[in-house]
Amino acid sequence: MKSRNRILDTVQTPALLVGLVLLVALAGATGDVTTARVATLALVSVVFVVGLSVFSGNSGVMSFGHVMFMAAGAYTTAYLTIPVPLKKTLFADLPGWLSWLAEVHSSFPVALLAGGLVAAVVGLVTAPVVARLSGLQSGIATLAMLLITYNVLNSWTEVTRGSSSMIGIPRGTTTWWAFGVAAAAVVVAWLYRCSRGGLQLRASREDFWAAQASGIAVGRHRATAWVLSALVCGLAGALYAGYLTSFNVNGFFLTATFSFVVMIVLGGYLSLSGAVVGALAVSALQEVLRRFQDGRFTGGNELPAGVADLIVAAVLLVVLVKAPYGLMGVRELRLPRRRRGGGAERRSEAPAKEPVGAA
Amino acid sequence: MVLRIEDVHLQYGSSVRAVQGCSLEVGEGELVSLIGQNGAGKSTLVKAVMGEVPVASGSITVDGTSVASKSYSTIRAGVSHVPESRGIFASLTVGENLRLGAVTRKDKAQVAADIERELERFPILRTYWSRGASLLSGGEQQQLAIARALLLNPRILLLDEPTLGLAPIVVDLIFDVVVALREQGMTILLVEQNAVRSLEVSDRSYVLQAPGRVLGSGTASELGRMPAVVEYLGFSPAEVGDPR
Amino acid sequence: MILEFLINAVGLGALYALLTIGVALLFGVLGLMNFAYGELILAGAFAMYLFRDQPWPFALLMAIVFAVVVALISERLAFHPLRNADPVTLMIASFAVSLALQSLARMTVLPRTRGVPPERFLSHRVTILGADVSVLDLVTLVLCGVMLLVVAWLMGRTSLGIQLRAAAEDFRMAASLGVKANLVIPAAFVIVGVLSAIGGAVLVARQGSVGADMGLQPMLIGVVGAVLGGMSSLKGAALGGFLLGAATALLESLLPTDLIAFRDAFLFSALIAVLVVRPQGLLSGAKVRVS
Repeated sequence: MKSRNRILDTVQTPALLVGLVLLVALAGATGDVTTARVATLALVSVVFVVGLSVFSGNSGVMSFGHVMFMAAGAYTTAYLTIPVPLKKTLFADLPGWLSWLAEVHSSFPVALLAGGLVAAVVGLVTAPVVARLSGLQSGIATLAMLLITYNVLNSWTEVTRGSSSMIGIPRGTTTWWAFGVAAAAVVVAWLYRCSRGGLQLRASREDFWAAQASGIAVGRHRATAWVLSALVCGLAGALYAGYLTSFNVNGFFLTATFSFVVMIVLGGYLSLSGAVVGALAVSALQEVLRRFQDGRFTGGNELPAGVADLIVAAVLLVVLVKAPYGLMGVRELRLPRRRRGGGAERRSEAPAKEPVGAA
Repeated sequence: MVLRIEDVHLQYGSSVRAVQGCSLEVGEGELVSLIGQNGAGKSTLVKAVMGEVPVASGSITVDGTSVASKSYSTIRAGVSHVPESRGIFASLTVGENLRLGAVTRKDKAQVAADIERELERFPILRTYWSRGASLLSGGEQQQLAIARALLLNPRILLLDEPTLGLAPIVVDLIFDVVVALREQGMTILLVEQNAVRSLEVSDRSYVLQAPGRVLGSGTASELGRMPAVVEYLGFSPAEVGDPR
Repeated sequence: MILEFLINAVGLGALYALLTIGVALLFGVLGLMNFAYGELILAGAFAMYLFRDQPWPFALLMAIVFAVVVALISERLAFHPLRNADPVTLMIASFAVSLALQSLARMTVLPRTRGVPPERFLSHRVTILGADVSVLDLVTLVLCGVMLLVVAWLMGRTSLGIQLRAAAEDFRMAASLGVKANLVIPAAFVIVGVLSAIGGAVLVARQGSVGADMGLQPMLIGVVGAVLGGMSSLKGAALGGFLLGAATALLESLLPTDLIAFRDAFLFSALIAVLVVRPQGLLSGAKVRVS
């Protein structure tokens, strides 16, 4: 009886989260075109924010650079799935040593996987930096990584098309693909959380030096989480490219970063449920605001472009002031409990005061 | 009474009770020391007086008015604090550190004269006036910290472990300064782990035991008659003798 | 030729030093790595656009007013409630402020980039010591140089400056000596406002246009310069910014054209290397204070 309770305890959060994601997918699959689009992109956001949370949620270190992994996934998908004849015209000036890029081709599922792997490689390359830095320095370093990525993607015109859009990617992502990856991401993230490494990393989040002193190789665990989260975010990028069929380098810069930071902070960056809830809530909010801005709710009176961004920024500020741990804090979604005292016991897990990046 | 602490309870952090029911008084012109082992609650008590630790219950008054409720009210009431860490700004020069001591004062003309007074008292500070304060030795930093605190022309000076980590010869120098200040009529609360030296120079002493309870108070010879104090300190304060 | 290059390099160095101080000052005093700094520059630059038909001293004055007002409002609304938050939370908040101000600008006054015709005298060239020098470079050098001297005087010689530096080193200790948070923090924002207005004005003159996203580049320059110089001291930060500017001028005249596009990538790689190898900054001997 007791062991069954324990199994239920560990399984219920990912099950509930997958259920929540499934609801969104169902809405997308049964609704009209717009609903399908909103739901699918929301699921892509879920994948990304869950990926981000694998690193930030467990290590307590905020990253502003994860969008580069998304870019890695998206560009990989573009190179692999754009039909070869089109690719030959899009990338007419490929340097010789990269000419094979114009020849390779694969199906979308392979491209999806490759996108994740390429992002993981990028993660592997950058991991040593992340393993060594904490707090604000880590924040600045990860941002610098994003800026480097942007600069290269934007300037290496022969290979990346620079500031011109990447076009002609076949639509591979369906709502169900997005759901499948989102559900898998939730499960993987939860498994990592409950693994030895995840537990040790979370211990270091509360007190870096104490964890270090008690023999936890914080740097190595951070690096592991970083690479895993890169993989998941790469998948998000592949889904993104495969859904929109075209994208621009500006989609992988500060606006996107900000949007994902809002999601994870609003949901509560220390909890996996927070990542999922935040991604869905902010996606919904952004859609509502977009419609407001288009004047769909105000009888056709369009509001000036930028209103939506302004409101999202204001929401983030209010959350930072009023609830720095976001909607979920350190809690996870669970079934209502019949036993008494459960809530209080979990609340005591909360770090005493300092929120983000105290390590 | 200049400083009066009455039945103060303090909590540090979320659950640790650092001080439970401490009362003490420092009268005009008195040199009172607060002694006790590490963790007895001495520093927490000082922080409470400075308003850095909230007072759970009890009262802290300076000249009869309550402090430690609003920020800066302690400074306004004339309490000058030399913290354990000394609080010297390493990136500022000696002179700039000194000028910071008078930052709340409005009588700018008098400030210059008072700085001159402190430079007479601590000639080493005049020598190093435009040097970076990080270049000072520990003892010199302590002198700078005391001089800076005195620039407030305080009603009472709180010295928190002024000789911590200093060489014996420098410890002598700091205690000479404390005695000289007392002779000039300064009211001083001295917090020290060095019980012997504190008892030597103080008019009265409070012996504090964790968690912040007064085990006994009085002159050295009075404390020497209290068995609990003698046992706690490991020697009889009476052997040290009262000052002069 | 050499003199012309020197004036250009030193002028750019002074401009970058100015930008860097704006970042380092707020970081020192309240642990805020301020991404909204770029939008203060934008506020100043926008004033230069708005008053482009007025005499330039008036436009410059208005630029200062605009930037200072925006700085104070952002302090009041966003950073004041977060005074005890940790640096990363503050950084996220400044991110939000940055985006809010940018979208505000975009939806009201700057939906697209506007040209600002530079003052005619700026495009002239003069001969100094036999060298042909552009007035724009000269003005950049003089204006930024004078500003740096003013900041050095303010920080080094005035009571406010001493208080600011003390607060930057150890806020709690400074407060316990009676340095008032409600004085030094707004004062720091005012100084940052003035600095960014001057920086904005110079940038407008150099690039001849104003756009809602023009603040990003100078903000990043400030961050990089501050990290290079070591954020614990303003002097180090200013020096870091200056060297960054001089190095940029040097790189731009030496790097082959097809690599100039990747300048930022080199720059930020260097930044990461510094963070990993010498987190206290290249130029600072002090121990690092960032969390």
